[in-house]
Amino acid sequence: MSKKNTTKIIGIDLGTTFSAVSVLEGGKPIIIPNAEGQRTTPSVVAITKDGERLVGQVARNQAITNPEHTVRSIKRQMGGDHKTTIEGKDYTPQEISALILQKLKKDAEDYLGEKVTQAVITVPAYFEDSQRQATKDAGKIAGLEVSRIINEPTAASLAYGLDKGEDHTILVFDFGGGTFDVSILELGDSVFEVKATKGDNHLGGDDIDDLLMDYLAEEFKNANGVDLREDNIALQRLKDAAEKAKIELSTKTSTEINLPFITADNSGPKHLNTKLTKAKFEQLIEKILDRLKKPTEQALKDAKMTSSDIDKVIFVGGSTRIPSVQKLVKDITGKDGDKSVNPDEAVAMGAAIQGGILGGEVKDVLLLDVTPLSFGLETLGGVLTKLIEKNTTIPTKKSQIFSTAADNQTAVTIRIAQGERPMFSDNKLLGNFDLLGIPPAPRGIPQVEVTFDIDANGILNVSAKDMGTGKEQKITITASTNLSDEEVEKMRKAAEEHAEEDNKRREEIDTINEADALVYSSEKLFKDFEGKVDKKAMDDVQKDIDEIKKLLEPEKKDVEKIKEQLKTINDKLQKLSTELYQKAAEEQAKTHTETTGPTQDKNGDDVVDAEVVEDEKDDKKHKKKKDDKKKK
Amino acid sequence: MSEKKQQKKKKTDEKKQQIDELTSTLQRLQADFENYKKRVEAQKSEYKEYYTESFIENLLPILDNFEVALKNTTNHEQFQKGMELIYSQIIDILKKAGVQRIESLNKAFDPNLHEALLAEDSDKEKNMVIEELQPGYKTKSRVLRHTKVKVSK
Repeated sequence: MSKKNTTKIIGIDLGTTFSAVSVLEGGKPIIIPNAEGQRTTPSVVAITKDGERLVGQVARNQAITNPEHTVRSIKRQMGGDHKTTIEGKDYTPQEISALILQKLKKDAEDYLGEKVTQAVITVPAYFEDSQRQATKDAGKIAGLEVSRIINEPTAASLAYGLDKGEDHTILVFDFGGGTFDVSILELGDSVFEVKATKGDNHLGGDDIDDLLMDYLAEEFKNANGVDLREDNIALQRLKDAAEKAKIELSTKTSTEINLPFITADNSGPKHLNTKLTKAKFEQLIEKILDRLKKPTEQALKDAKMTSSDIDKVIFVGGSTRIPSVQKLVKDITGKDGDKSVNPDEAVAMGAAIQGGILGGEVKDVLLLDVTPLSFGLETLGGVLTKLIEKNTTIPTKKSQIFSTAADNQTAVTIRIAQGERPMFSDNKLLGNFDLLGIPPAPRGIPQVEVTFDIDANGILNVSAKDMGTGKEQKITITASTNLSDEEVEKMRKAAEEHAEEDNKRREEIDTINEADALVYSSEKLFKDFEGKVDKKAMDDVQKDIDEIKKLLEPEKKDVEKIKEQLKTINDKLQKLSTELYQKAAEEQAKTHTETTGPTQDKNGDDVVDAEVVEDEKDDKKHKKKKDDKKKK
Repeated sequence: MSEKKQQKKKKTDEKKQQIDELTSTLQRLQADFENYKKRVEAQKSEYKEYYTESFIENLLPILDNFEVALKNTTNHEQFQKGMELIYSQIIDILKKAGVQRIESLNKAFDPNLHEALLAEDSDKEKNMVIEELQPGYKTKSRVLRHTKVKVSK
């Protein structure tokens, strides 16, 4: 590996109000939390009288005490000749931005545990050359080699994986805390071209909070005659509550704002307790929606396009979580926007992906598939025992040991299916084969190792090996990933729809299997009990067991009854066991031998519910021992 | 000559096989890593749920106490006493969870712990917290909420 590949290239979203940093980890972008534990860092810088440089939340916290030495929104000055004078020293916008970058770099280094020297930094699509150069210079001052400056909407598109696949036109709707940008991009030959960009440099989620706060204060004033905006403590609580209400109304149709003891007058304490409906909220922010609408329409016009030319809409910025904002975009473009990537983090993540591409980390060989559905085999009672769960990245391999379900069973049939339903027959059968020549043995003794191996092309190899004789049988299934998206969706839906009855059925089978195992093991158990416990009690249990045997006979079993009977027997057996061990302890005490107390029942072996199904017509089944052997 | 060619071909085949094997190993390692990450994520959310639940369990007795209190409001003095007891119960729970109230009043303003909402001329020393507007809390390693304060100019 060349030296260049050994250090990571980080991706930085250097924002107007907030910044974020991301890096590829195992080929996927992750957001690096800052030293304070937050995933975004306020783009605020301050220099104290002692010359200490503060960046982020700390700088914001002291802003009011040190206004002339605190700088916000420096991004708006990038590329200009604006100077910030602090304690007699002039700072260029690049130098101020460099302080933010330095913190992000340090946070990334602390997280990664290694030096970071290279970064991809994002800028708005409308930035001119001088502004891009200034951003690059800021990086240099911060000790970063800027591998590339990329447009924010391009980064967002990368985060959504839109660089792969066919050429198309994308509308990126970026509505954050303090700025609004809408861009139209065209992807051709894996290169994004900005066709148009419009926006409002002074419009964001903060404006919505202010509107909401004003409305609540006004309402309270009308009812109580007190203006909460004149009381600092009340104002602060109101501000927090307004933001919370806004967030809640993104998922609910109404929210309760509850601020007890918000203020007091001559008549005593007053509480703010009011309900805000989504409808009212939407009416309040209508003006803001209007200010979003015009630039969006203008961008389309500038790109000489109509809504039908847009193939894809993606959302960036926290304020796009507001449903009425999403609806507005749909009304204009006719498309539901994609919001599958966290809108606060998409730009930084896209920058990290670009960094990965430049650093050679993202290669085709590493683009791995995921199995959309689970794979498994049929076990006792017609149950699907999954070996490879859905959403597993392939290639992957899993082994598990199963056993026989009947005495002297010499063959097993491995039946393989794909799907999410618990009953084997409800899933898609992929194939089956027999493993013959297992030496006769009591059930539960033979060990058959079943291995599922899916290679990078989605080809499934299933093998079964008798650990006793070394005999092996296998099958290759090539059709395992041939399902279309619709088929996968259909199967997933079916699993959801039938979840309740399926679970019930599964529980029933578990009960039947448990009863079956009990009947089988009782014989051996009774031999152990012989002469050591009360004969009458033993006969009583034997009667119960005979009864459960009968219950297990018919094709259609009364599971409720079996369950009841099972409990009765287990309770009685427990009593007998206790008696047995007490006697044993007494005997040991007599001979003055030290005892370590009762151990687990010897028969126990942790017999579990999943078992390979029979191959012969009668009820010869296999019992699985819980021995989830892990193979490399 | 043909022997040489054959040898060359043999060598190329060997290399090819080696590349295939290495590619396959890399893919499997990468997939293992992906699956490992997924498992860790699933465990994380499981833990989170567990901790949330166990914390809520601690809150339930307090909820009970509030309910009783709200049914017994006639004796103002006793009601207040009850409220104070419930309050100290909550403080106790937070303490056990490692949460501490941030000291602020009459301390030097520290932007790491405090957030200044107001700055006011005062006869006090400069840059001191002269009023606490909303209390703040921290754990051992992190500030949960900065104390909102008024600072002397």
